[in-house]
Formats: sequence, structure tokens, C-alpha cells
Amino acid sequence: MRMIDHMWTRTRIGPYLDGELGGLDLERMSLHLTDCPNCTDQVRWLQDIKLSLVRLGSAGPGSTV
Amino acid sequence: MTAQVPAAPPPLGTDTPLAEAASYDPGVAATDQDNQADRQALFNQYVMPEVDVMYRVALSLTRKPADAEDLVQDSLVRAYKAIDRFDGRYPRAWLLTIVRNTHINRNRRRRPELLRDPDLTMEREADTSTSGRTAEEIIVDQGFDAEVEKAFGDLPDDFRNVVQLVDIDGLSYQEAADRVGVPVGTVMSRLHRARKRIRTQLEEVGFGPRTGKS
Repeated sequence: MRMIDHMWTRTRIGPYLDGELGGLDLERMSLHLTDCPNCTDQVRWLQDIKLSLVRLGSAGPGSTV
Repeated sequence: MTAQVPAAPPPLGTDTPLAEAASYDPGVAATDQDNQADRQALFNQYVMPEVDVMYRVALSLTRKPADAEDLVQDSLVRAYKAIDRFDGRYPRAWLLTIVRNTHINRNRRRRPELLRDPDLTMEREADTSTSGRTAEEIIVDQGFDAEVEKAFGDLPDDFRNVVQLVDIDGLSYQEAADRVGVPVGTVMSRLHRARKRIRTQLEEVGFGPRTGKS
């Protein structure tokens, strides 16, 4: 069951991070993340990428943040 | 490149915790009202325009609107206390760093053994050159950001456009689809493929997922 959840989660991390997941899907995702270090690491990494992109968007031309 | 703030702001009414934080009164002594006025002016100038973006990033971190509002409120309080030491450069980056660090600290608070001195944390966050990170973390983060920027720049135009709209500007899939003039499924497909390219490029240069990171 956990492996099924793992595979299910991997296909929905993007929508999850974008706030596009809701209802039972969101609950299932949250439940899995409390119990799966690998997926949690993956989520953190993708959050880091997303935050880096936001920083990129906030930087002026030729600047580094 | 500059980020475009989406037209539709999050539902933040005047009775929300965010509104309370925006008018946060730290209780400064009456003899120092000029200083308080300066602080409020800086806060209004640099922080208030970024509240929507802070909320969107907080929502992506917490996944729950109530938690996101709490996180933004805490971040606004920290920003207010540190605003007089902010150098005025890249306010969004500064504020998002505060949001991220506040999120990390809130999670650590749930684990008492990892509690840190909140005053020390505040001092570090006030320093825009370090933002509470170690020298090693700063170097790693700068390298990470540089690689993300490179990967983003290497994307084909169609892919880069949807990443810009969704990840940087904070639009929903539907809003991005309307903006580009393609079906929402096309946005999702381009986003998926674009992110995969970015992830692959990052992993190839050693910036894959870090295990056990708090």
C-alpha cells in the first residue's frame, strides 16, 4: 500500500506544491508525507527550486540574490 | 527580469490576521515616535507590496490557508522588527527568505530539542547578507540559485513561459492557460516537462534532493 501511495504521490507533487490539489487527494498526500522521508525530501527539494525561481523573479537585471 | 504580480490577490480582508500584522504595533515608547513612524514608512514601502507574494509562497510551503496566514503574520512581525536594518535591495528576496526561515523555525518549534534562541534568529534575519544561514549554506544556496537560473534560461520559450507564469508569478494553471491562450492541460504538460528538465539539470551538477534537511 505504501509503495502504491509512493507512486501516486510522485505524480502529484507538482500540483500539490502549486496549490492545485484539494479534498481527499490533498489529505492523502499530507498523510503520505508524514510517513515517507523520501517523498518529504523530494517535496523540500522542489520547494527549494520554486523559492529559487521566485528569488530569480525578484532580482534585478544582472543581479544575484 | 521582473516578476508580475497576478491580478487576482488572495482573499485577505481587513479582519484577517494578515491585516492585523500589517498594522502591527510593537509598543515602542512614546518618546521614540519618530523612529516608529520611520519604521512604519519603510514597512509600507518595502513590505506591504509583497504581502500577496508572501502569502502565495507561504501557501506553497504550508499547504493550508490558515497555516499560510499564520506564517505570513509571523513573517510580517519579523520583517517589521528588522526593517530598519534592511538595506532596501531586493525586498521580495529578503521577505521570502524571512518566510522560509520562519517556516523552518515554526516546524522546529514542534521539536523542542531543536529550539534556537529566537533573539539570535531575529538578529541573523535582520542581516540581509546572511539571513541566518551559515557560510556553507550561503555558498550552496548561491550555487543552487545560479544553477536554477541557468536551467530556467536553457528552457525552450514555451516551457520557460509557463514556469514564469506559474512558479514565478504565482498564477494558477487556469490563469496561466488563459494568459497563454492554450488549454489548461497544455500548461500542465509544459510545466511538468519544464520542471523535469530543471530537476535533471540540477541533479547532473550535484544539486539533487538533500536527505534529512530540516
